[in-house]
Amino acid sequence: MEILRVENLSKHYGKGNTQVKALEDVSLSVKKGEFVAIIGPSGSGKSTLLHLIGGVDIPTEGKVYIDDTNIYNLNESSRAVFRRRQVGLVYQFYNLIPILNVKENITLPILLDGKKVQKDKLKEIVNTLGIADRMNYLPNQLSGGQQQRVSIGRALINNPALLLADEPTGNLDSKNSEEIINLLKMSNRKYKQTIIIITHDESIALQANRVISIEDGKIVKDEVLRK
Amino acid sequence: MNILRAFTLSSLRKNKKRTIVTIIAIILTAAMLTGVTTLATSFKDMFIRQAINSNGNYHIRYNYVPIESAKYLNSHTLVDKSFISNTLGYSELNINRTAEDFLKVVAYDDKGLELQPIKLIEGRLPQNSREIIIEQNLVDFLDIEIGQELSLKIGYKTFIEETEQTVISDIELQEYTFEVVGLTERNLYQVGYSLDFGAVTFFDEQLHLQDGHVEVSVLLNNPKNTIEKANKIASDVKLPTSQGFYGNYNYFLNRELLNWQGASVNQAFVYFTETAALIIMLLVVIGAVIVIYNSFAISISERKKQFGMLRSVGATAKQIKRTVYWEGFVLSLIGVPIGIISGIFGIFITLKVADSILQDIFTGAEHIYLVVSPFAVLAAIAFMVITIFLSTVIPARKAAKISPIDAIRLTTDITTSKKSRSNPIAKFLFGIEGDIALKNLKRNRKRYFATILSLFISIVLFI
Ligand SMILES: Nc1ncnc2c1ncn2[C@@H]1O[C@H](COP(=O)(O)OP(=O)(O)O)[C@@H](O)[C@H]1O
Ligand SMILES: [Mg+2]
Repeated sequence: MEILRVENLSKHYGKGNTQVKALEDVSLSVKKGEFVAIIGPSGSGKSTLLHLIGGVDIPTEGKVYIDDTNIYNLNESSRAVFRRRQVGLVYQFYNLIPILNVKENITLPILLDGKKVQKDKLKEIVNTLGIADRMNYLPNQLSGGQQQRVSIGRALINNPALLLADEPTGNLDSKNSEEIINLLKMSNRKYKQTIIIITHDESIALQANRVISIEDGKIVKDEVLRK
Repeated sequence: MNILRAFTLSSLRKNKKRTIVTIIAIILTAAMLTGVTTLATSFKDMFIRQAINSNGNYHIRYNYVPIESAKYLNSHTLVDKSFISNTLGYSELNINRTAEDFLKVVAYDDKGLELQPIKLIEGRLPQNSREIIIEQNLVDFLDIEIGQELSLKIGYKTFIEETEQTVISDIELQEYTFEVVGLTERNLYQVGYSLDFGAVTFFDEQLHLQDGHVEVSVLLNNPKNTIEKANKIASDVKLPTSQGFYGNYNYFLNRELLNWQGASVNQAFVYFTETAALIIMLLVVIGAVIVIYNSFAISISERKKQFGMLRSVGATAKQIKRTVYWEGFVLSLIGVPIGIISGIFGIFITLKVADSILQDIFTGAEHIYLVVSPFAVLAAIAFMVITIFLSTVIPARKAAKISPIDAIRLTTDITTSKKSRSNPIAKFLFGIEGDIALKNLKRNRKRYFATILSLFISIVLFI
């Protein structure tokens, strides 16, 4: 089942001579439960693609369908609501809210919806992530690895259609990197969570089902490693 | 609690310094606004009392009203209260002061005795037409005490051209004997600013009619549009027409009281007082908006990344906007009550001091008391709401405009896109600290300007 379809997506910055074509006519399709790695040199447009898929940026051209919804047909506030329900984002620098504690950061997408947090679900996630004893800590009281676990928890709490991770291990040592990747792999297997991850690390990319290579804003290779 | 409210409270707690500064600004604003409205109501109250004390407690006085019509006047729908009075006339006192000494004797019915600003020092009010109260300063002149009898020959003043003197005419001179039952302060409402003395007795329908006529003084339910109402009442009650000051009926208005009750016959007077208060309040609001707006603008720009992060996890622009308004609301919830109370207290002290100074300078001046009217407080609150709204509307919009992508691409909270150039002179004179300070000053030039402007405004206001 197709969960994501990207059609002729372009993103240009600036105009005329100084125009940067960060992304140029990219199309791709991702099925539910896939674990996709995106690799490519720095500045090739990986983050741009991920942000456009996640609905946090606006494309110059093209369409993004998540679960058959063209997210750029939605108005700003509907897209924000769609984002908090259907997209989980994980960044290299965690991007947690520094003045909210771990529990609040994880449950933020639910709380923003004005909904009640399901205790079981939260418990399961924090147990899996190994941060159950850190619920009342503030982000700056945690190690980098722990902070990244919190941001993964936040991304997973709403059972999103897509989990998008932009170099989630880029700021971590190898031991923590491995653990984070294992957590992502586990959620992919256990919850059939569709994941798209950007990485520099070839060994991480090789653990995915499928690797997409990007250069100069274009997809240059798209290979399926395993089903 | 809503997570965004928790977020706001945490950031307020985190930035204690700015939170306190903002609350202080709100307190000062609320205090100044309440100060202006309370000062205005207190002065208004004093002027109303002064008007009543020097002119009497009525809006319209109908002269020469047939006694049968008096009760219709009293029951007219536009009329709140009314009383009957008649001036019996003047009595010559012969107490050898430099001026002519006359005692003006007026009879009031029970409602008149209740409404008129009679200030008893001793004794009681008259209860029948044989009792009288006089000004205390007559006690020595007349060598009289409470309980003693006072015989008066009462008639009308006439001016003798040849001698250029005012005397009591012999025609219609009537002799009355009263028992003095009370002593009062000077009866200004009765004699105006003349040198006459005043005395008050109880109105008696058998004794005190002038050809079957009396004076009827009326307090309106609502004193606005006084002349129209005065004429309407007169025509409804079918008072005899005659050429009067304000039309076809014989009455006069207590203009001073009407002025201070905001029903000025001279409209410009009302507008002047209200406009002056309004202008001061608007100046306060402008100054406050500049200061409070700045505080919010800084607060928003410092949390740019956090707002962007909230957006990226799905907070809508509307939710962010509401967060900023809520911040304003929380700060007001603390600042406004404190401001209102301290404003009222400040005016209380100011009036205490002003009153004692005024009493020193003008003996017998009307006292000024603190009057806290709900309207004054509500007006201050309304202006405060406007102030907070104006201060937060732009920051709220700015916060809502921060896009998630801005925050994601922002690794730190301070953008360093524009480098300000070093100033070699400052560096030479004050070293590196001076250079940094100057850079900061440049960056915050707008803010400094705003602060200075607001300080200037508040100083002007105080003077
Ligand atoms: N806001 C922006 N303004 C101008 N150029 C930008 C902006 N954001 C990204 N770019 C450019 O777009 C290209 C792709 O960026 P990005 O997607 O971040 O690359 P990657 O994540 O693959 O390193 C780069 O050349 C980058 O400089
Ligand atoms: Mg990138």
